[in-house]
Amino acid sequence: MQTSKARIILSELVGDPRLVLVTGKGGVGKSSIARLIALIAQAGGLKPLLILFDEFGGESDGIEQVILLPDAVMLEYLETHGFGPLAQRLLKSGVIDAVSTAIPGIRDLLVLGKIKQLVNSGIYDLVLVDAPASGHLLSLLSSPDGLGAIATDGPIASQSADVITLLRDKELTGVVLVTLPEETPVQETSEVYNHLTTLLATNVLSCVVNRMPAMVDRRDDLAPGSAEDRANHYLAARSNFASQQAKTVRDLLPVPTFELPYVDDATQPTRAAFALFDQLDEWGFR
Amino acid sequence: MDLLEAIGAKETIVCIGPGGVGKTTSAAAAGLLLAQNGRKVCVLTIDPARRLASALGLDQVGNEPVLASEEMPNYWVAMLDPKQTFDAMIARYSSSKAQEQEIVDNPVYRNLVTRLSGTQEYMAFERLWELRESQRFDIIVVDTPPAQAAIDFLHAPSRLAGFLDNRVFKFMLKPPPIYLRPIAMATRGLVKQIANVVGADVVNDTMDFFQAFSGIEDGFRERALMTSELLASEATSYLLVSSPAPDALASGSRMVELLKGIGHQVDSVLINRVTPTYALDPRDVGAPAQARADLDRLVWMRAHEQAVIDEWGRGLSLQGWYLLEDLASDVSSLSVLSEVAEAMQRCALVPFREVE
Repeated sequence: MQTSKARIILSELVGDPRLVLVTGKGGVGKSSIARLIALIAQAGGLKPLLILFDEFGGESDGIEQVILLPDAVMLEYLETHGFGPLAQRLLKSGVIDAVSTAIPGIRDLLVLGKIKQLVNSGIYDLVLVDAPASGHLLSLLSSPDGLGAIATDGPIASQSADVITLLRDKELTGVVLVTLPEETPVQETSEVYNHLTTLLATNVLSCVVNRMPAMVDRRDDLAPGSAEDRANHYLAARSNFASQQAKTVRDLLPVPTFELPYVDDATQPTRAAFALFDQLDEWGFR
Repeated sequence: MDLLEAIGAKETIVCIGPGGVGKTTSAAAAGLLLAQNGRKVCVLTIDPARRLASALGLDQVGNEPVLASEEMPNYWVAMLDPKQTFDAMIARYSSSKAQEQEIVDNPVYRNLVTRLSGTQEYMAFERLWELRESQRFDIIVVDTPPAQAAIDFLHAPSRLAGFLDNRVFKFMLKPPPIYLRPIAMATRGLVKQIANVVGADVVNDTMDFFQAFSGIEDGFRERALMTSELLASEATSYLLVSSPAPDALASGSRMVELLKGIGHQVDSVLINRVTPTYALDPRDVGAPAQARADLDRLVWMRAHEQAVIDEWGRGLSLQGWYLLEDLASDVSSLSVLSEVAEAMQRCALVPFREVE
């Protein structure tokens, strides 16, 4: 793919931010889409970083990636904030566990702080976060707010303020919502959109409707009740239902919407990302 | 054995499985099927899709079971309200109104109720226990939250109880015996250091919370124990709901393993959204090539899914699985739900085949 074309596609998909959080309900393919955007950025001559939260993230494919595990991030934070070698002992003692269970946002905030650090490092042109499922992302993103309200002094309070500034910077940061053409994911996407834009004041860049089935029209030239007729009835109903759902997304969300086709291997993020990347030319981008 | 026989003999059916596989719909349809067969059923849902909720007559969250339709006096549904359930538990175990108020007003409590993953699950089981105790129903079908974190679901009761039981905090609240004082001093020092990082008020709120909570843990622990017994009982059946997608199946197996780890056995597997297939009638000839190709594609996909499921099933100690074909749309009314229930009624056990 030409560099210039990749840059155009990237800018249509996400614009020109430094930090993109990709989220959606569990099982909608957000990991594939995060990786796909990284591939497009790379093809456009940029240096992307992919951040994952899952140990079973995906096969490596030439995209630089880092896996953030909350406990490790917590340990690193404590080690570099005056606890040094004591940090390990603190974690083991259970005190940290109790405090962070009581105030779950603390772990989240430290993770966001780490992301901020990677964005500000200047090493990467684009940091992509294969974010947790949307419900959890909302609580992740609201943790600085919540903690800001609870913790009024100390390093956590100032960390909260910094992270809030980054998340609300519309030039630097944005969210890509991934959904499926089915009722529940679409409904949840719309709720997440409202929550992000109103309560959290975070920019939503675009919405990807993933795994669209191939369009099939209902035929009238088949023997009624034959296997072909019933198969055609099913396929037409399914594709009709999916396009209704995609239309609902377009109607509900005032952001660019992209429909991506179903690919075989849809559930293996790395392979799905490559399969979609190979079909980029067919998506109808200019 | 058909699905109705498999689940009909139990008192509690816990539906588990990953998100996006139609778990809530399956729970609702299984409940409907049982109700149509003369059992008095309550389906406890967690977070149903809006149209399914309104099809069931659940227009708002409410812990109290309601009838899905006036015409079906045996079919009750309820949508869990975790906060209300938790508040009620606090009220039940508090020794005074003042204690209850102190807990409910603490920011740590509000955080626990709304944010701690696992609270929803814990409250679902608490509510299940209450409904079971009321003896109003023959069978209760529980839908569980999507297993984004299967672990949360299984560990919820012990995790919360463990947190409320945190020894370190107890240690700090009670004057320690003399021989332990040096350790207590050291712990206090650590807490002070933590306070320097997270802010003193966070730590103070946490301490206040444990202080306010003291005395209540026993009630909670006892209840957690009873819930665990109910979940381990012979009268409780676990139904794993999945789709044929490899990632959904993989997450299903992880749940089966985790359940096994705490001594529960998945009794039945329902695989939803299987690609439908249609038998070719040799008398039908001359269908247009594209229509035949579409049919072939469905047949191929079905065979592929079946192979994936057979391979997956080798790792389970189960006879087979129950199959529901994809509907091509969502369940948006009671009549569509009845169709699903009817399909379930016809559901026979599909044996896992030997993989070549």
